[in-house]
Amino acid sequence: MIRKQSSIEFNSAEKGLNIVKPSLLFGMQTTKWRRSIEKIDLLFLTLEALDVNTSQSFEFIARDLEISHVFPNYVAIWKTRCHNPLRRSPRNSTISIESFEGMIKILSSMSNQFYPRIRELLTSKGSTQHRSERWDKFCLRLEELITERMNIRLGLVKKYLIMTSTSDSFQKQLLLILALSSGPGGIKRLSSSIFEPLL
Amino acid sequence: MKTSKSYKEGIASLEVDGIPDQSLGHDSDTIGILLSWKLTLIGLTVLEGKKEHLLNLVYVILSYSRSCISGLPDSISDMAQSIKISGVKGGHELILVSTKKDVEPLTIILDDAELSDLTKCLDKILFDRSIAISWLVPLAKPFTCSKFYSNPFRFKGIVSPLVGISCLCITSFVYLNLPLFQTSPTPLEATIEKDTYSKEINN
Repeated sequence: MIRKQSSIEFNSAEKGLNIVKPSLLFGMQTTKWRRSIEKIDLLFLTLEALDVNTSQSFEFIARDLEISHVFPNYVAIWKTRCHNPLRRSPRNSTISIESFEGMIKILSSMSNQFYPRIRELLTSKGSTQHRSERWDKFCLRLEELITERMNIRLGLVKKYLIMTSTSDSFQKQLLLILALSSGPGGIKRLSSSIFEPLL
Repeated sequence: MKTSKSYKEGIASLEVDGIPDQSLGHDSDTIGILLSWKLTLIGLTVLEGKKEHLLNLVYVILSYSRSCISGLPDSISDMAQSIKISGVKGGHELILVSTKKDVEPLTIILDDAELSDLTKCLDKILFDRSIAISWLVPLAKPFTCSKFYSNPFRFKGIVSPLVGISCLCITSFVYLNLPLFQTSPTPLEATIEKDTYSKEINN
């Protein structure tokens, strides 16, 4: 498929991080919003599956990104993540645009920090034994986290669990999203694709 | 006068040489005119070319990465069909067609990690403020919903309503065309009718 090259001209002089356009946030309390918050939370879970102590560094990342006013502590991040309707005990209150953008910034920054580990899992090169050991450990941890945090009676969560247990493509897709979300270009890619369905 | 810059990420290493465009008032560290570039993919290949080739490569790779993050790894190529990337089983197939004659097209299979490395490497040059080049990259362009929800015609989906509507039509047709049975009046009915007539006359 050939696409026109003149779709969007990206000028090097305009490299500001305009993460989410206000027009895209129109109708936040809709399917689009629900889908995006589910996706964000699932990507956070994937990061947590990479390292047990990941959740502890969210606060430091928020401080580095100068969004401490939005997320003053770890609990604030956790509360925002609990807007995911697939959680065991979801929050029904509205989520602010600042919190939403902050979550995307943290996700991109964490992906950049964990990029070497994500790369290790995505590569097809190297010792097969070591790769399969790392992969199995990651898959097991992700499955545990989904079972622990999500409402397993919901159809979508059941679907996630079936997909994680039957094939590797779902986990690979999550890792590829994280790998491509890292860095300054990654945050733009992630923010423009955040409202798109995961499955 | 000549400025060289290099960007490295994993297996990808990009080196660019250029000079500032004095007519636009660039400082000595800025590259406004790209003279040459060299992309080394460790263990795979080394690519070189003109500015247009780099622009096309950046466009193709970053557009493909954008579609990969959405889970839709489309086949993407540039306008000149010199660079093409598409998803294949177990990786991503990058085909590079040389502008020189008698040179076979180069095919490289990248895994997910190598694609991420290449994407991040190209991101670095894209976001480097000292490179004053206009890139044509749809980096933050959201996809339309139709890309995610295919709506092909399914005959099975319309069978049930068609059968239902047909049954209703047939039943209606049969009932409307039923002959009316006109039975002969019983003796009692005949008497009542007769009395009614006589009453009406009396009135």
